Amino acid sequence: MTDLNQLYEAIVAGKLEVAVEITNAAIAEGVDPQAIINDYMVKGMEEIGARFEAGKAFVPNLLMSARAMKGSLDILKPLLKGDGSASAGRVVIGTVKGDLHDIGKNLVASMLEGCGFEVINLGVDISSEKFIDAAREHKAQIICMSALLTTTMNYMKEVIAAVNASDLKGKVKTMVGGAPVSDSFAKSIGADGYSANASAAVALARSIVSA
Amino acid sequence: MCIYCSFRSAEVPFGDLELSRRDIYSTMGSSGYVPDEEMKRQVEDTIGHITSFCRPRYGYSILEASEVKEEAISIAGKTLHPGRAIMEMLRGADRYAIMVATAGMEFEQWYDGERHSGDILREFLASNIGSEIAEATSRIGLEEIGREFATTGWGVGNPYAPGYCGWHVSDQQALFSLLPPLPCGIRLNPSSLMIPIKSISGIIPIGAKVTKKAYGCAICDYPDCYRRNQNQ
Repeated sequence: MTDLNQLYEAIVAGKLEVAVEITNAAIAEGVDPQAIINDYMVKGMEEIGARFEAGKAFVPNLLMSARAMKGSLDILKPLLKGDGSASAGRVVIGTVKGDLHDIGKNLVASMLEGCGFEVINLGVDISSEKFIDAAREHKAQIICMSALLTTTMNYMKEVIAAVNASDLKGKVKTMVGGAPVSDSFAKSIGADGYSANASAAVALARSIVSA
Repeated sequence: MCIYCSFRSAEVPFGDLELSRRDIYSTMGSSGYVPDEEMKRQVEDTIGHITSFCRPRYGYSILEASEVKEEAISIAGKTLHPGRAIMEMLRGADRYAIMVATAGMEFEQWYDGERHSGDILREFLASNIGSEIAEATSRIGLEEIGREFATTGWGVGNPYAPGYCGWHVSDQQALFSLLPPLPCGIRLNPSSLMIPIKSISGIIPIGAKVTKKAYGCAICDYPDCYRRNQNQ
């Protein structure tokens, strides 16, 4: 019988090969894929996120955990029911127009995915039209925007204005983040939420979806 | 006079780069991050792999300003708008170097593959190492400029670039208009960002009164800058 606590430990430690091996073993034994995700993998991501928040883990640790999570998730996803009932929520994410930086945004995407969200990652240099079209097409609950440059973060305001001018107003919430972005800036542009890091972004997304 | 004629460029053998492991690791994590042996191995393996194809380059033109204002500077008929904080560093120079440095298109192509590999750790390592390659290449370019003016006794300042300290990134267009087309293979996309992504541009003050001054946050009070956040 596979000890799934070892999967939890592998996720926390960022051990991709171990995570994949245990996941395959658990599947072979007929363990419910959704239970593997909810009871061990998401909890592992939550633990590394908590350590990051406490200053006991760093970005590379988050990345390694996210990679281990993804490795296991790739095995489990085809086995899920596919009705979206187990999803924590659906998020469209991208780096705003004029900005090509995507590491931080991808980390947020990985953490969200690792914690049960369905994530549509649009990439970089994303216009307000692309954000809105994707949110509409995928019936997303949240649009997440990222920027690294002080000169590009102002575009977030345009996206929020475009959302509010569209049929998505009131239906889709906006989250912003990125190194130059602050809580006060987020409030000033009318964003529904701001997170300082990938771990906090998960907590924020959960609170927005459950509100 | 042809403003492009003073442009000099060079390819830097990868082995000549002094890649600062400290800088690579410091950009990988917040202060206090100590890489474990596995992470060190992955960084060294990645650098070792890049060695075979990466062709970093730098290039610069030395030009004179025709007009220096409080927030702008005109060079060869083009006006740059660096803003008050950076102009404070540029004012009083006898010459200005307009410089670019890049990890190169070969690196860019490989990096693009890493970005689409689906492995966020590989992408992260490639990004951080690429940034340091561009920085290390820029340092070699700056040394070359220093050598060029060594006999004059003039000082060479830091490079200042659009996108930082409140200098709008769209001014890259004006900056690049002072360089030949595709300097070192670098182009600007419609958002005025450089391709290859791992490239650096800047204007550097040179002159009898120029000294190397504190860089970055010391000259700028922009509250939301990521460099300021990083340094806190």
